Amino acid sequence: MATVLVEDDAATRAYLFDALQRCPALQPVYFAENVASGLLALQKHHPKLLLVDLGLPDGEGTQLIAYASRMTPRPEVLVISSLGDETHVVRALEAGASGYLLKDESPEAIGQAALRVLDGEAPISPAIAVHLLKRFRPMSEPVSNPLSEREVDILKLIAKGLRHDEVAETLGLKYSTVVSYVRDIYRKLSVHSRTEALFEARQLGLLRE
Amino acid sequence: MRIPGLLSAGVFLLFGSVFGWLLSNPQVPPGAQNLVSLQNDLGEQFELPKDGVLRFAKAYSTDSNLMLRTTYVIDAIAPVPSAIWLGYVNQPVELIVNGARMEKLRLLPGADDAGLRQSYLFFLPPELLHAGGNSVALYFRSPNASATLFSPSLHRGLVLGDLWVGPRDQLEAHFYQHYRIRVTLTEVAALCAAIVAAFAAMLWISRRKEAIYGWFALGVALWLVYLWHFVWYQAPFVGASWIAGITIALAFSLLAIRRFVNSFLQQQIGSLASLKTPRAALDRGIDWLVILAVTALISLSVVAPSASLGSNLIEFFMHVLMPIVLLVQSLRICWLLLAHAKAVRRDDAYWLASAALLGLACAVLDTGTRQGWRTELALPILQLAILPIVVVFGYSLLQRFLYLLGAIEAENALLDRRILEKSSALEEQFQARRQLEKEKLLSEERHRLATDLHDGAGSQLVSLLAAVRHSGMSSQQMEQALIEAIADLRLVMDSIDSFGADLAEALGQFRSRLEPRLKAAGLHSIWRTSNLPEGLKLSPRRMLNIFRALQEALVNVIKHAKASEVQISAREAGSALEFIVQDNGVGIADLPDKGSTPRGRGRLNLEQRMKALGGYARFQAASPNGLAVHLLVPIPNANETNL
Repeated sequence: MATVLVEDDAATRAYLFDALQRCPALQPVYFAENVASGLLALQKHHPKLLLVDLGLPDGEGTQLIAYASRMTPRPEVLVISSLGDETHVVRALEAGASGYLLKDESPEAIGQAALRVLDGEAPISPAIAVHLLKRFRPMSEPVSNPLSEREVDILKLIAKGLRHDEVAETLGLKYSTVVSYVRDIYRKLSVHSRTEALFEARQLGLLRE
Repeated sequence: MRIPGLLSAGVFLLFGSVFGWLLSNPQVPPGAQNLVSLQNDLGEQFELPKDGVLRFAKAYSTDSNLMLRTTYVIDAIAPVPSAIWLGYVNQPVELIVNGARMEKLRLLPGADDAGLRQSYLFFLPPELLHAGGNSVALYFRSPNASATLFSPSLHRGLVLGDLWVGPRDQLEAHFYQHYRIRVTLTEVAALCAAIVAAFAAMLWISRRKEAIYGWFALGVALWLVYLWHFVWYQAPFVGASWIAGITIALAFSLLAIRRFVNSFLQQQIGSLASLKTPRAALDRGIDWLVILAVTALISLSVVAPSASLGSNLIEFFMHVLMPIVLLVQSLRICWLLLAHAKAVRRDDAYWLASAALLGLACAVLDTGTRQGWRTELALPILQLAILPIVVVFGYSLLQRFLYLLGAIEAENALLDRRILEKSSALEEQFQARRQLEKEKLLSEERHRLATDLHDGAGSQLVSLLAAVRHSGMSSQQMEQALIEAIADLRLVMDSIDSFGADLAEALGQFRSRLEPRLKAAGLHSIWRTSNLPEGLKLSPRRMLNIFRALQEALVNVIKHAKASEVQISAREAGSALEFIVQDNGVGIADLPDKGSTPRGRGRLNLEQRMKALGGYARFQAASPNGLAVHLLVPIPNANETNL
């Protein structure tokens, strides 16, 4: 049940490492400070959980996320975000991350977030929900919306600031159903963005049919 | 190729005159012989002039039918079937050859009445004729028996214009030539005139303000009355009154046509003044002349139809005054049209003038025939004059219509081009303006961000630095200050992201930011924000300021209220937004004065923020305990500048 933490800023790394150390379920915690050592750690320890910063000295955190999402068993990935701005988070989600973690949260909150994602939860903020709603809308017009009606409803409620339990109550669903819906949405996002990338590559003539 | 106007008019006139002359002077069939000498039962001898009229000046009694008798040597034409042509007879006639009554072919079918100069054709069967002398007897009814007023030639006795004997085929051809001119051609003219009159009447009905069409329709319709007995030979009422009626119709027809010409020319050239012809006074005079003549004629025929003075006066009116009136009318019309043609020198103007002149020529020819200046054999042709008049006026109206159509098309094309030019200019202006607005918006937004960062997180960090340098801080104090600085930074960043977003969504984001903090402070938070209408948008700065105020109120609760629960509700109240932050803490009982304590400063800050937003903050004790902070923010109109 290993955890790998990839963060280049020493202070943040130490703070997060401490926070994770408090949770026995996450032990042992390995850390790395760049993409190369992160990759090594992933190959060596096959962690259950990967926490990764996006801006690393020798590359992008998304490279690690993409690698991790091809591993079996597949580790859960949380992207470390400093201010929770959704452009960064969504990029990580597209690469295959399951959620995000705010650096300035209290140690308890960080531990809980890590445990929850192992339980299958997917953190989402209203801003991310708004972004997802917008992101899926234009592509959906000609063929079909990758999101189901129910998923759109859920995103709309989350965009208004409702917690998962409130969403579940409003729509008459179980809490766990809402959680799995959100994970489905994230998965669709990553598939969707890969399809889009392929499509664009074909358009540009980079790939043959 | 365009025929010069004068030439076309000349051709028209020449053709019309020659045609009219030929029409009115039918040629004598070459193989026919004129019977030159006639004798009646009373032993009176009559000579038939070669191309003249035999006039029976004497009135015979009704008791004995007048009979003309002659003996004709038929040998000359015996081998071929023969026929007798009787032209321009004004009385019913019967022909007896060798004691047998002949079947006759009438020129005007059904017209056996007095007053119409009828022509007859009799076919002589060869078996009836014998060599040597054949007896040919003509029986006329006495003229006095049916002599009626107003009949132009009747009162002068029996008229026998023509008496030809000859080969049947030639006389038959002669007969049908007359038929074509007097019947068929007239029918065509009547049909054309009727169609044009109906068309003009429809135009007039749909465009009442243009009396021009009404006058034209009236003129042509009255002319149709004049044409009546050329087409339908049975007069609708008693012969003489009918003849008076058609004369009156002709007079009014010319009056209407003259008015039509007046309006038509007025439309064409704007004002008749430029034509240099005497105008209104002359026309009024002519109108009065027509009305007076017609009134006199009608009253005379009613008052004294049989008195000799009355008859003579009626004679005068019918044969002197009315022709003069008609002539004056026609002359006036020609004058106007000629003046117009001279003024505008256009094709259609020449055609109009020519048509009028042609009509005048026909009228003069007919008058000449009627007054005996020309041979009585000449056919009346005035009724045909309506044909060229209708055609030419129709052509002129069509020209006018086509001209207007062309003008409208040209105008439309011009308009389209102008619209295109204008719209492309507008588009350019619009683009330039949009670019300008975009730049303005961008610069405003940059300015706003700089200000927001400076006033919020920036000043918090600077004061934190000062505090650390000056007095040192506990790490807990420093943590708190940093948390607040970061929170404000987040609000500013969210306000960038929520650019153009819905207030409900932005509030959702705000909630997700604040909720963990409230929870960490041991506060259970209840958010009642789902009543906000969708699509409500505020400027980023206004949203930021609202959220800063809300954050301030919540931080106050965290710091000072000692509460376990806080409720945050938002709703639209008329043209304002109302936010309520209510806690169950220590409440208003120990609410300190503004400024003197930390909590008082919090309250003061809140009030100042709300003032900047144009709203206000209200503090109320909550039951059973706690404090409710009401924040009221007006929603600005879309076109107002958002603070």
